[in-house]
Amino acid sequence: MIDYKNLGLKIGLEVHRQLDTHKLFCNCASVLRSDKPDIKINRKLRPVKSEIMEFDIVADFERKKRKYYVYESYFDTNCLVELDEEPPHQINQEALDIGLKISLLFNCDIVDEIQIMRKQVLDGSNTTGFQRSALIAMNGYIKNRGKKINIISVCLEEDAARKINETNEYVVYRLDRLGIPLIEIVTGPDIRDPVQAKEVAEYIGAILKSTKVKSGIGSIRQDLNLSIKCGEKIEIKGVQDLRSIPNIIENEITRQFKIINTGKKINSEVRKACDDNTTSYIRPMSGGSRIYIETDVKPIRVTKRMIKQIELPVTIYDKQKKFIDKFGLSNQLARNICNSKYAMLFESIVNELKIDPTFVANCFTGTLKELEREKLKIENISILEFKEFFKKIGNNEFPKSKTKEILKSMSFGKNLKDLLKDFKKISLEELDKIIDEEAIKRTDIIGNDEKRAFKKLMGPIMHRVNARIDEKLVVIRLKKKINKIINQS
Amino acid sequence: MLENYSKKIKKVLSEHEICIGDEIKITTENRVYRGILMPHTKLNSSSCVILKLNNGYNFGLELLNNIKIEKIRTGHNLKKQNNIKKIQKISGCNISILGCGGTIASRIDYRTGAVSPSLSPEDILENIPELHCIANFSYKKLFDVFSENMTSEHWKLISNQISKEIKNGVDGIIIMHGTDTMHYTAAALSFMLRDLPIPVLLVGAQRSVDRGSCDAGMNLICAANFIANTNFGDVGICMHGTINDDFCLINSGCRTRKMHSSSRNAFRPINSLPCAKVWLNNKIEFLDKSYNIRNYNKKLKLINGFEKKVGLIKVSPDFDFDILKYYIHEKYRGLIIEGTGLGHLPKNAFKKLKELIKIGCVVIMTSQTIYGTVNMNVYSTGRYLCDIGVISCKNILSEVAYVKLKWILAQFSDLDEIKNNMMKNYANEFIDHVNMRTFLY
Repeated sequence: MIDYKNLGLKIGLEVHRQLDTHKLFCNCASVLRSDKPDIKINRKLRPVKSEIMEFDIVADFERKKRKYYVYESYFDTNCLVELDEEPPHQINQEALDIGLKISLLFNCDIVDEIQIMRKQVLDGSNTTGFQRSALIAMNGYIKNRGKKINIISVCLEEDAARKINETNEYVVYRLDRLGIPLIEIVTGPDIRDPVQAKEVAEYIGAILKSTKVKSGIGSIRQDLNLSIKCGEKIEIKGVQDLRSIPNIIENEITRQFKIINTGKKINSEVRKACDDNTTSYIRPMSGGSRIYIETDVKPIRVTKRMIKQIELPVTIYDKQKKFIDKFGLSNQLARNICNSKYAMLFESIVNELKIDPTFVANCFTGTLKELEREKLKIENISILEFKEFFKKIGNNEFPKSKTKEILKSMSFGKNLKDLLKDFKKISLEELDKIIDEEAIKRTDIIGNDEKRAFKKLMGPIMHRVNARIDEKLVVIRLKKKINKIINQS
Repeated sequence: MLENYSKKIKKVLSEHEICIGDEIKITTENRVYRGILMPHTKLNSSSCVILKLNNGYNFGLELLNNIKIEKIRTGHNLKKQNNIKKIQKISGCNISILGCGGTIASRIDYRTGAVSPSLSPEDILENIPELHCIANFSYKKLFDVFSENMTSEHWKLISNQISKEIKNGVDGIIIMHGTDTMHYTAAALSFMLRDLPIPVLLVGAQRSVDRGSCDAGMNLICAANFIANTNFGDVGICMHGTINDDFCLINSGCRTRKMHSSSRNAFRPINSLPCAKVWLNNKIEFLDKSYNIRNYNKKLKLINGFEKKVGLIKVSPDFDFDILKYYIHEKYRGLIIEGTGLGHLPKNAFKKLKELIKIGCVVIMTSQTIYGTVNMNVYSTGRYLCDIGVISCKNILSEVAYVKLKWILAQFSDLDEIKNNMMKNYANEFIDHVNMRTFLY
């Protein structure tokens, strides 16, 4: 076990997440495409000086490589802005609003005036040669293990183009991803061990989820900044799976140890997370001089009054607490339902209907999961159908024990009216009628052997009853019937 | 440099002897901010100071009364530093670059927050070292204007400088120019520079030079290559041929129009093919060889006067021709009318138009269809307009006709002479044979 405290390990996170809106500086839809692109264009890039007249070291590095770039584009979901053939439009207001909400959720101060900046990027992933990015808030915090983890900044930026292929001469990028709004959350170097890094990343992810963000592969990316005593800051880019964070950090520390042990120095550099959780070198660390102002978009003044008017969403943590306090769910169940896509539906069902919340939550997080595992199409069941189903359960029209079967049939597209026939609870009179009918069919076996008759009859009756009435009742009524027949004869 | 900050902020900053570029510390009620003081643009809110943080980001901080402000360090000088390297002469080709402003020479303007032309030709060449492998360059910045502010006075200045450069013995001239009215200047130069011995190419940028994707580099390289490697001796425009960074088009000075507000390939030949395509790797393909060939024996003759009282109007349905009263009252000497289709005007134009012609104003008809040739013999309206004295101006571009009429009117006063010279083909502004390939090229 490594003593991280002694090691002087400091970790900071940069969490990037796509927002679920159209693009940041044009009206194109934020959709990734896998079909054949409509056009391909070839471009070259040159480094430029920043406001303070310095060439950036990264820009210089990329320039030496001197490749040309091929951009794949679509007529219907790309426009001239992504092709750098037209100036950017004004910033996407919805994305900005989401960004401001996120800033407040992380207890940040929103800046008084937002200035869109250009971050020079010459690897070709931006057609302009820079990524547009704006600092919207600073000085926030979250809590983990009872301690504060500082949130240094919240930035709203545009996502880069997607790398499709690279050769010695050129790099192919697809413009579908270029311009999708991204929120970037940067923590201070306040994390002290690899597992805590994962916890903090999970917490930030969960908070972001309460706003209009995209989910799925590629929509979330983490960068790790870390340093140990006598080392330099290393940035590890592109961590997709949260679960791999501790392992990546441990492997990186091992790598640095090896270097230090040979008496060499650790260079401050940017590395990439590989599939086997090791890291590989990408480029030197960039300086602030690669950032200069975007002159095509006006700065945005944010007044105190505007901030007051922002309505904060309920986070997953607020929701869990509410589900425990108000609906009496267990901690685990509250967490599961909040993490599922049914959280909202669950809440509206238990608010509207008279039904046991724990039963509903179990249904969504347990039964439906089993059905999904069986590859059934749960999405075929509409919200209204779910509500109707739980209403009938609450009214005792359906037996709870048949939940799985009923949902299964619903996923095949059967409507509830038809299902009611198969699964509706039956009355004692109906039960007696079934028993009578079965008994008449098998008068031959009802002799003196009470037990044998019961055994023979119980099966077919239970099959017809199909759990629509309590089994105990079936036993009592059947025994009574058999006794009656025997006594009569 | 504090100039754009509000009086109140300026006072606070000067009290602490703080200048733009200094590292400062601002303490508010519950926060401390450290950063470099940046210039204030007119787009920024007047109540904010602009700080650049260590991570490179700028943001605006409202300067409230209860804040404390300190200077930590005198800092970066944001004024430009020039470090031009002396380049050895490597080839026999000498090219003179004349800077006339525009996007190609633009950088961030802290007063307006937008880009404005203030870079010198040297600044630009410092960023494009490849140029020095093509030719030897001399630079001169003539003026800094956006091309929408160009006047015939600017055209004159350019032509005078060209004349000087030719006397100095250069092999070609590149004019760095804003793109909005580049085709007007190209037309003006085509007329002014009689018996031009060497090539004059206008080059601009549709993307500003403060970004990695700027198109200026390639446009300049292609222009220099074309001058160094061909016998072209005419006025042309050298800009991107497509939205790829692959080749530029050399378009004739009088046959080109800016056809897109923002695209790299905005400059298109009208009714003709481009003179040539020039690839970045120096491959050159000629498409139309009707240009003048370079000939050092020719002696340049400058005719660079322009008449001020010339107008250009475009008619539309329900057009109110009372506007012609102004031209009559102000005694305009020439008017270009962009008519509809083959060169038509609505009936309500006739009366005023006759009056205008009666006072001696030369009225020229071009077509708002841009492509094609004016023909006023097909319909009765056209024939009537010819009868009252409107001159049908074939397939000259409206913008070129405007420049040409200004130029002709400055030289001649006799109406017949004006008409004859207007119809004379001075610089390939008329095309005899319109090839179908040229439409929407």
